[in-house]
Amino acid sequence: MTPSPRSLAGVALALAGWQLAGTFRPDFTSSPTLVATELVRLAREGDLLPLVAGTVATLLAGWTVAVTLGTLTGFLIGRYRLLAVAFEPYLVALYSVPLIAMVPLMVIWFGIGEGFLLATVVLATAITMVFPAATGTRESMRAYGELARAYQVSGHRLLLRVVLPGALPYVVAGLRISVQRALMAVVVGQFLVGHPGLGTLIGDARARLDADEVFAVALVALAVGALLTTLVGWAGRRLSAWRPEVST
Amino acid sequence: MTAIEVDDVGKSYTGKGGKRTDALSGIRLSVPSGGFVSLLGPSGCGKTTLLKCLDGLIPVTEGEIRVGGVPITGPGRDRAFVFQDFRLLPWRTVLGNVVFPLEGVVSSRAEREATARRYIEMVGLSDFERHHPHELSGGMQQRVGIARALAVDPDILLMDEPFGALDAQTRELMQIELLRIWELTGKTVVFVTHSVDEALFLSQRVAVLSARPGRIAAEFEVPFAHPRQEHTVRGDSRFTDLRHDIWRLLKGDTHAFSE
Amino acid sequence: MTAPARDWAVRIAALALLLLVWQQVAQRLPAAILPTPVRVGAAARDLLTGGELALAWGQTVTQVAVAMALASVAGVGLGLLLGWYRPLDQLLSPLLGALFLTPRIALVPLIALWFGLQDLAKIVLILAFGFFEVFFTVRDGVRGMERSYLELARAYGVPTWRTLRTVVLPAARPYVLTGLRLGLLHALVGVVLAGFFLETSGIGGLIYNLGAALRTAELVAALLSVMVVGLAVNVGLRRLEARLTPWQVTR
Ligand SMILES: Nc1ncnc2c1ncn2[C@@H]1O[C@H](COP(=O)(O)OP(=O)(O)O)[C@@H](O)[C@H]1O
Ligand SMILES: [Mg+2]
Repeated sequence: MTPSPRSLAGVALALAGWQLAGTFRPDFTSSPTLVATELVRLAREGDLLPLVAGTVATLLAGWTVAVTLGTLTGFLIGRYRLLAVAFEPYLVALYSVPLIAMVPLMVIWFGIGEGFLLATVVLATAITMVFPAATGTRESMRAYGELARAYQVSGHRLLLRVVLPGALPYVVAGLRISVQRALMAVVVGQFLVGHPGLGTLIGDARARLDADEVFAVALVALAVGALLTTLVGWAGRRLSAWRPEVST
Repeated sequence: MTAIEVDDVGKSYTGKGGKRTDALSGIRLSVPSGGFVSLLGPSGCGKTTLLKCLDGLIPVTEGEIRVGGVPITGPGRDRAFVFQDFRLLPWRTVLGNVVFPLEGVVSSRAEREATARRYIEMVGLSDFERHHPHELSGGMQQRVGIARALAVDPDILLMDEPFGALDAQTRELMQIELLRIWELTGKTVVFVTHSVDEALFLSQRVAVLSARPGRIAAEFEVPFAHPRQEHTVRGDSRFTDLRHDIWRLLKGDTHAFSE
Repeated sequence: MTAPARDWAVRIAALALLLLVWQQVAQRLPAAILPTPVRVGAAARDLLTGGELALAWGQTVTQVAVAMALASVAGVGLGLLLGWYRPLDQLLSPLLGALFLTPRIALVPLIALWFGLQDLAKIVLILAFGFFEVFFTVRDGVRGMERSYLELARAYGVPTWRTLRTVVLPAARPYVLTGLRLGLLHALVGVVLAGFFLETSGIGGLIYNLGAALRTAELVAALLSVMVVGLAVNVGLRRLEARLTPWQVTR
């Protein structure tokens, strides 16, 4: 998809406005050129790239666990009514709360190392996959369950050939939200305990309040967020190319 | 007197990437004032397209459509469209839906509602005027759609497979109902359908469209006088003959009739 | 037993089981690591009677109210405008999309730079969390709104401004309600993070302080209060949606 001329114009206008604003109060708004210089400085002196790469690696590890766990849970409550009856209200409760509030408890349990970050990502993210997976499982059982029974497909073949492919578009729709949540979780974790990464870059900016650095760091976070979301979106489309997109 | 003249009309859609679809080509048709004409043809042959052109909802790419001798430029209050999917506003009651096209036209609210109620009664829904669409059956919803169209008091009703989404039994009831209303109001009706029986039972003339690009393959006069009685019409041998002829015409067009 | 009654029995049994497991595990661990449910209950009572919880939520509720009022006006207004008028959408969407993809936590330094650390800054942060859900839900709702309704309006010669009022606005209503619910749930995340990373006050600040002081039982009790509020918001607003837009199946 190519961006429309209007979209490009919007971005260009915003950048021009920003540059202009920077000539009046650079200590307040910085400017694109100042931020570019700052980014170069951060890359040279501040270990920008290794910090970002480390953050992304942690995130991906935790996210993989979270997605597996959440999808499996969703599949189980989607497939077995008893489990849904027993646990769904509590899962809805978990979905309604800002799980990120649990981070202080995570510190008590896991300390401030890598394990803490992984646990935080899993805790905050797994729940986002539960309901898409459950809905997908239910929908695909409803749509193809009878067909499968009519042709005597059951057991793991039912699971692998019918339920999972049918549920896939829903799972894929959940992935994007989950990766954004995972990013926030890892950054909050690092920020809170000072574990080196994107979170500490944000922490430093928050401590120094230097406009160039503040904007540079926000831009880095934007780039990471956009990159992850795009990659997950792209992979998701590859995975479920044969099905229309669903929204949850 | 002619109500509608379709003069050598063609329509092609330009899709994404400039891909062109010819939907209609060289359509000539004239509909007499107060007449009931059906457009019959297989799915995708351009019936809806033609009807929307008649309403002015979409512009033609060739030729001209005249209503009362005047070329049309857009939708007008002399024509009212009845949609296959009913297209009721779900947040409005039956009364609210029928009043909808009168708002901003008839300034007195009491007058608007009185008009709407008259047509709600005509379609037999007086007891349901405070109901919302989701509380009504499909047949009742389309009655609302018809009342809404009648409420603007158009000269011409343009009906796009109005009973296509209904079950067979409701469909027959609605056909009888529509004939009654047509005989009562004397409107000109252009009726789109892909059912041969429906076209023959309802209309005075059936125009059969061939597949893409849609052209008028033939027109058939249906010789039964109105008011029609269902069993006498369907039992008549002329009905069976016409039915046979039209089927043959459609089947000869098998590429088109793959639906 | 009727089916719903049996379902509730199963649910309550499941909860009892979870509590039992928690109790058993907690008994074998130091209270600072995992307090027992009984201890948490006592801690909750202390927080409530001591007024700590009320004070924290009191500060938070005002901030959320202001932030969500702003988020609703801006989100619904912009959502309607951009959903309806495509050129403006194309102009502004890349910028809004970029802001949306930025983890909101990365805006903390910027907010601190521009607005300090006090109430105003916290309101802005909560707004940053609540706004996008409202905006995107409304915009996508209006944009994806049945084009067919617009065709209906055109077929019956309804002028543009009246179409906006009698078709677009009512059609958008369910999306506005859904957007506000999702926005408010998201705003709670902002509430917590505002307490962590801006001035340490409100419910987020309370949680932060309890964690730092290793007052684990109180910490869990405070977390449960957040859970209760989140659940109440979600369930309550869902009910309201169902009441106000009975024709729409809520998401
Ligand atoms: N908006 C559109 N853009 C492009 N092609 C269209 C559009 N609407 C209809 N068509 C195409 O025009 C042809 C006729 O469609 P339509 O008038 O809906 O047929 P019918 O009502 O007889 O089923 C079809 O091939 C359809 O795919
Ligand atoms: Mg059609």
